[in-house]
Amino acid sequence: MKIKADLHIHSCLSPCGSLEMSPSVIVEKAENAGLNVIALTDHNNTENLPAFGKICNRKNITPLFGLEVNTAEEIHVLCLFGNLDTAMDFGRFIYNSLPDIANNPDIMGDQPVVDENGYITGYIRKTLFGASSYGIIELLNMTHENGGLFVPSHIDRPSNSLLASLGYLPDYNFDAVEISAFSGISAVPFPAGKFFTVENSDAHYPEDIGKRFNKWDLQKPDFENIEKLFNSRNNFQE
Amino acid sequence: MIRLNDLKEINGITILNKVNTGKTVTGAYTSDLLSDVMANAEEGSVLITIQAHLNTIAVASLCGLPGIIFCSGRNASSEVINAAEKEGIVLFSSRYNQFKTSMIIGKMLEN
Repeated sequence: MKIKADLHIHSCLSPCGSLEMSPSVIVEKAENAGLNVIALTDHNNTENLPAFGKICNRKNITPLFGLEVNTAEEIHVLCLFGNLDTAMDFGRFIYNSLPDIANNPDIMGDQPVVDENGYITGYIRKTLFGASSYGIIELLNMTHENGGLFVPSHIDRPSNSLLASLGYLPDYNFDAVEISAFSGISAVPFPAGKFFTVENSDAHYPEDIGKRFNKWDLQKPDFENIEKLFNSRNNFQE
Repeated sequence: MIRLNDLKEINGITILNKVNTGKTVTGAYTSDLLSDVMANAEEGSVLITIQAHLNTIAVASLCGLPGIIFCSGRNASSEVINAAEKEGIVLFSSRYNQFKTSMIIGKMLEN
């Protein structure tokens, strides 16, 4: 079946995400945009995934459970899981690897955890803006050990990207690489199709959902079939 | 002791906004990793970096850094300049790289 998937969406939990981005608003907008699979990927934290999962299950939308990790090299990467509990464990592990610097909401923005009805149930204490103490290779291996997909974000962006931080595209076994919604402003040349590429909205505001997505032909719109697709079209040789 | 005002007199360094230029600079911190700046930069230091984006302003504000020098001729977008003005942070663009810029500021701080 032909499906539409957006694997990079931020909720209000991300300090840079709009406070309007509750999981319920995200799923509603995704439904309106005709998306079949969506991933919630907040910065360095997974605490809004439970509410996100509950809402997706009520609708005809497949959730992928993820987060966007800031590696020690300050490269943003999407770590995506099919299973909520695995993603939560991985998320706590990442949060614990952040420097112990308190969030300052006036400067960085709020980091609210919300339930499926959009009510705030708490705030994340440490700034999610920090970088994990783990480097990209360690995180890649840990993601794979937990059955997840590892997708460097907006690799062509001039900051917080694989190409900006490392200067080249390394031969690691990424499952895919994400091309930026800002594509075209990068100073670095775009690498030829070595990896499977994905295009997501990286939405921080409700109106961004549905602006950019992937169109794939899958047997079923689920994690296993997306994994299969990435693997089948990934030219990386071990 | 130097003031932000003194930096704009340096040949090759231009000021990008006009706020609080009378503030004192007590040191400098050179880094392109914002997580490192966040953890280690001392309050009152001017930040020397190539990271000319909004997150740099947020980190400088968090750490109490009165000024930022963007190196290698990097300029700031109007969005970045506006954010810095709101936070009272003075921005400069240096035509020199981080090393040369650090040397110039280092000499000024020593005198």
